[in-house]
Amino acid sequence: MSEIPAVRTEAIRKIYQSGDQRVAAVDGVSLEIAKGEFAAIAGPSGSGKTTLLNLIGALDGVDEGRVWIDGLEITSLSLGARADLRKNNIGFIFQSYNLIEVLSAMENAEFILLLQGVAKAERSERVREIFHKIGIEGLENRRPHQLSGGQQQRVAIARAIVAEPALMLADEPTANLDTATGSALLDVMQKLNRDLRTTFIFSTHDPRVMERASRLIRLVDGKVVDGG
Amino acid sequence: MNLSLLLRMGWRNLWRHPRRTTLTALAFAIGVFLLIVSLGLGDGMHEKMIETGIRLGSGHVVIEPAGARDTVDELHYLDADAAKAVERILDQAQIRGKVRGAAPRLLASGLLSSANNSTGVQVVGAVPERERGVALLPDKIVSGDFLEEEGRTPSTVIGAALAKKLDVGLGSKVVLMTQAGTEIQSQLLRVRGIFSTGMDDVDLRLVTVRLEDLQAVLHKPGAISHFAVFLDSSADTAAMRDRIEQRIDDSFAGTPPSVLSWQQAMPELHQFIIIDDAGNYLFNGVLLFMVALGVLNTILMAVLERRREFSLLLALGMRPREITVMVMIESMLLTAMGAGVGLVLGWTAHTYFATYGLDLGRLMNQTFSVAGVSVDSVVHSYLYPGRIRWTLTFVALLGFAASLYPAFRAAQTKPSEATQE
Repeated sequence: MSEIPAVRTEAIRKIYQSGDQRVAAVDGVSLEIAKGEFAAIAGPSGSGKTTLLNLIGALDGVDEGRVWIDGLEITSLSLGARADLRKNNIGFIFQSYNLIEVLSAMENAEFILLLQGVAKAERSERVREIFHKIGIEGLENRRPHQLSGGQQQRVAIARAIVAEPALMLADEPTANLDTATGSALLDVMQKLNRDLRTTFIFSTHDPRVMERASRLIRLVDGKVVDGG
Repeated sequence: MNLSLLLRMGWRNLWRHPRRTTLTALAFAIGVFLLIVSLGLGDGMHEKMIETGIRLGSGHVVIEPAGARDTVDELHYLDADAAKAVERILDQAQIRGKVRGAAPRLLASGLLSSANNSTGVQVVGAVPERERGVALLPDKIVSGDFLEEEGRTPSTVIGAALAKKLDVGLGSKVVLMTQAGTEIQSQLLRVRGIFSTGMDDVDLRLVTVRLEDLQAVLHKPGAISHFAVFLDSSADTAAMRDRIEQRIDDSFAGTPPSVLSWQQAMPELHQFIIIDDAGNYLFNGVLLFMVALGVLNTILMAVLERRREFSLLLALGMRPREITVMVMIESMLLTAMGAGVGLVLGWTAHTYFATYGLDLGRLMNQTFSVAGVSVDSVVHSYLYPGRIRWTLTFVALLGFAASLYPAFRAAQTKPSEATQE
């Protein structure tokens, strides 16, 4: 029996209204992504990469079709149930680092564990271990505005990974980083993918990300044209 | 729901814009401060009016013949036996313990004449020993004394305005003419004391004589028009009225005397206080409502500025209701800060005015009358029990109400906005 895919979509469609026009940002996308894949969704601007990631990550609902995460159909989940799914099963890394300004690096990283109700001692231990692994020890008490771009992105990765989600979604994670920092971060994410078998799905038009991906899915005008 | 996390984030969010938060809290503080000060001065003025009205009138509780107020032209009396029965009831331990004094009085109308003039007067026969320490007139004597026994001619105490009208002074003789049954009786009196209350009605028309002297003039030995009962605390009025009435109903066969609270005996004063209070509440309520709009505006601005952050929180797995609670916490914390500062400032001002008073003399006459009661221009602050609790409850409700719309808007944020650039 084949393993349940980490992500499966079936003819999903997302339509946006723009004045009198209806635009299909994602148009009939069907794909399966296996557990442990390090996959990239590539395409030009406006191809629907971010929208597809939003639909997979339950940040938005589909207008047509169905989505499964680890065998669970998420299409008809309530808003609260989707929030719980994101909290417990999906990690997000956004293009802009998206740290919470009023929380320290430590508090940002342990945020999802806080939402999950994990005890303080365990939270502290797990975050410190992750900080050590990704090389940002000593930054625990700094606020986001006191961190460099690369450090902020590492904190965001720490936040995403510390809860050990089965699925990581990263939307253009290296877009605002210089070459060296971007490469270093990709090293971290690949190591996590190897060590924990976490499924990574990137949306990107960064060649550095594309060449590291084990699978490349190309999207044009909301449709999969290659790698589906 | 992790309330400590929401509390921590809510508190820190307030200080992203320290100036805005401080100004909004300060506005709220000023509103609460003004509310406490105006309530305190208002209550103080009312309390003074009540005290004056009670001490000048018929006490906290008045015991009078049944139906005495039904016919204005006719005077009603408790006979000697009824008066003694009432005295026995007032002397009972459970009543005596709360009663500061009970003054028996006899009322009549008449004409007071001097060599130079004459005028209609209201006559009160009183027992001076039982009036002192409770009634107002003994404290308002400006010359002479209050019905000290002296000489063969019965004593009287009159108002300064009446003395001036009759052109008499201490030691002068005046003649009181009054109706006793079907006869007109006259009695020579000597002015032993002159009082001044500041109220024209009282100073021109009120004449006080010894109770037994008036009983003799009216040929009504032992008769009493009413007992003026003065309590240690006006808060006991309703309870004591009920208790005295119960005892009287149990003791009297036939129609018992009526027992009235001061609110029933002086309805104009009571109504004035109610209306004045309502006006005060309305004014301050409007003021605080406007301040609460400021809180709403501040929180709403903060919410609209942080839409991206709310979408991030939702994307990470926070539920919409947690966002709602976090925003409401911010609003309530802002309200609590303002209310706390306002409470401290207001209480300080109240304590000062309670001790030293606020002299409104420059804005008005030294004394003026409201609902027939004199009001001193120096107002001392006084807060009725429960005022602070009521104030804080009202303020908390306002803060809560101000949080609702911003919290609702925050929870409407879409998590997909977290991925927008």
